[in-house]
Amino acid sequence: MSFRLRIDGSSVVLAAAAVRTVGPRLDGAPAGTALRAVAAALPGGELDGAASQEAAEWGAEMAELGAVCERWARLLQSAVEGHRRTDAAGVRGLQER
Amino acid sequence: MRLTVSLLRLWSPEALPGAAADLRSTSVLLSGLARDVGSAASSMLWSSPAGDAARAAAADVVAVLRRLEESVELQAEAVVRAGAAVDAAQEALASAVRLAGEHGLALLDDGTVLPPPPVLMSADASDADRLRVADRFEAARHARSRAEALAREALAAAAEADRDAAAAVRAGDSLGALLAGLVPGGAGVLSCTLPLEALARAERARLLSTVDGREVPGPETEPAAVDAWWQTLSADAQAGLMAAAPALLGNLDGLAGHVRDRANRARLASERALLQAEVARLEQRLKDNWFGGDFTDDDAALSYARDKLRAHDEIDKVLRPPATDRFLLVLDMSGEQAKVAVAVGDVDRADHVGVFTPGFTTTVQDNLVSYDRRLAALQVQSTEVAVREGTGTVATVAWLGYEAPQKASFWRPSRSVATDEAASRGAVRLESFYDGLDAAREVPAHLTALGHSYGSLTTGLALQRGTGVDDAVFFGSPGIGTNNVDDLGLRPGRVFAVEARRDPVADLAAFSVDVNQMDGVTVLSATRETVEGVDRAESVGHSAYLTDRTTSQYGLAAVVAGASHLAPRDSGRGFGDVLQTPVPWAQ
Repeated sequence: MSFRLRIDGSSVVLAAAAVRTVGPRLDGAPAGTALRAVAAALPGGELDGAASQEAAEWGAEMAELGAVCERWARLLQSAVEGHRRTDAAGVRGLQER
Repeated sequence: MRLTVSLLRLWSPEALPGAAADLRSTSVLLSGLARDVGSAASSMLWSSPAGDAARAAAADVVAVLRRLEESVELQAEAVVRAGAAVDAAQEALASAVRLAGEHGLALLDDGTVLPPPPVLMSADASDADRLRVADRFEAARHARSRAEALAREALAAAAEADRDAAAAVRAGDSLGALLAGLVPGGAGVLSCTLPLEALARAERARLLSTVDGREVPGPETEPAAVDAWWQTLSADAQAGLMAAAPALLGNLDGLAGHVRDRANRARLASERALLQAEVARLEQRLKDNWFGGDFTDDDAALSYARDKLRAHDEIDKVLRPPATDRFLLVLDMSGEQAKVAVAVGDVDRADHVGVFTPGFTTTVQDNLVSYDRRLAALQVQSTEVAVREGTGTVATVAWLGYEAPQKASFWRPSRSVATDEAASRGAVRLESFYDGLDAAREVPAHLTALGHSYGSLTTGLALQRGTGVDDAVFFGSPGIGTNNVDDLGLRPGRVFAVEARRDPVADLAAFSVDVNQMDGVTVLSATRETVEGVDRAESVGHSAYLTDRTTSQYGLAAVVAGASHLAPRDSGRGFGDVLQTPVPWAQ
């Protein structure tokens, strides 16, 4: 029996769990609100336009990054699940032999 | 748009420092998230191309988060700089306006100051008059050029500050570019899809991998199962989990006290940063809302978050030197109130462990420090008894692990001191905590439950769920949730009560018959006594049972030390008890 792949499933599942908590905490709203406050404080200037535009984009972009983290966490989880199945299949194969 | 005098006068630079502070909170949050992802990935025990790809993907995400953090920090700095520059520009403009006004000059919107009008004089004006008018005209001419220069400088400086700040804020546009590398099909994080999936397919047939397929236990898991799971992990895996996700370990009943302590201490800074960000967010929301928190409950949420930050301050006070024997066994900032448990002494090794549960109005932010001090004194006293009796070592725990009723919640039945609902919820957590202490040890400790006031109801309900507790002491108790001591599941003679003079709560009998009237309860003394040759003071009122050098404290210490026979007895029957004497048909 060879052990060519070393993977501690718990550590990967935990890493996935930790990464999964990142997405919901990536809330762009506070930064967006701060930038809107900047825009409101200096109406009509360049900063007004820049801050307004940034504020509008923050929420969506943070959500996008959150989704990336979520997807990455799912990939980690599925990798572990895949190897669990591999493990079970291997054990079954040995027993049949 | 070209900056004008009227526009500049409209600007409110005083709002900018607050906005910058909010941006900094976001930067702190991003920093914490980057750290979390980084430590999660580095702790993965996974050696293969797929593992490498997963770590590379994590590095991508961390890099994005770091650049975002940097970008937001730069934005904050630029906003602060802009605030100072605009402030100075407005002052210069005000000087220009004042100067022009003093000389009757008109300041136009583009900063131009009109020249003084010519002065017509009659032909018979005296030389002195002519001279005076000429002087005034000359002064106005000088004032005009000075005011105009000031106004134009002010407009130019404000415009430059505005441009600089706008450029810094736009630098955040790189966010879009950063994300473009991470979205599906891009070259960034999702590139790990291929190695993972390809590896699973290609090697499925010929690999037997060493997979630890066990899930991380959740908070509802039986403490014994938690302990069993932890023992199956290698030391490397345990260390990896600690680095990757201490939040999953810190409050897990069944893990050893030193593991929980390490996990919870590791979370203190990030938990505080999250709360600070939450406070900043809610303050901003309330500032923007005409109705305050009337329709959103933001004001209540803000109050809870601020209380939790104060709770963090108190936790820091308890844990910092010179205290070296404290263990942070619970750190839970969910819900309305902070929940914490701090041990004095090593709960993993001590022969005797006493767990104290407080009651009505208890909060971490207001009471942790004083309860910690009292539990430390109790541990010292109990250790003295244990050493003398040769019964071993002692640890005590201040368990503020449930949301005790508060005065403000009196009319909320689910949280009122008048109902047992808060105690029932707390009892579930307390039972699990008791069981966890035993499960994490090879040999269970001699465990004593100490319940004060409403906390004695919580304790009584927890014991009725079935625990490994050996002794229980209820003091200042309004009732323990049963009229039958046998329901507590302790051996005969192991339930004690203490009732001090002038403690009306102890005679309330609100949640059972008066505890010191129950069959099977041994009543300990709270009066002045000489014990083992030492004069012990009386405890008077509802809140002095744990006061150092009192008879009641000594009694509690003796029970905790496994030497309950040394605890001074008392009838505990005052005027209130006569009124409370149970009649047979009431039981």
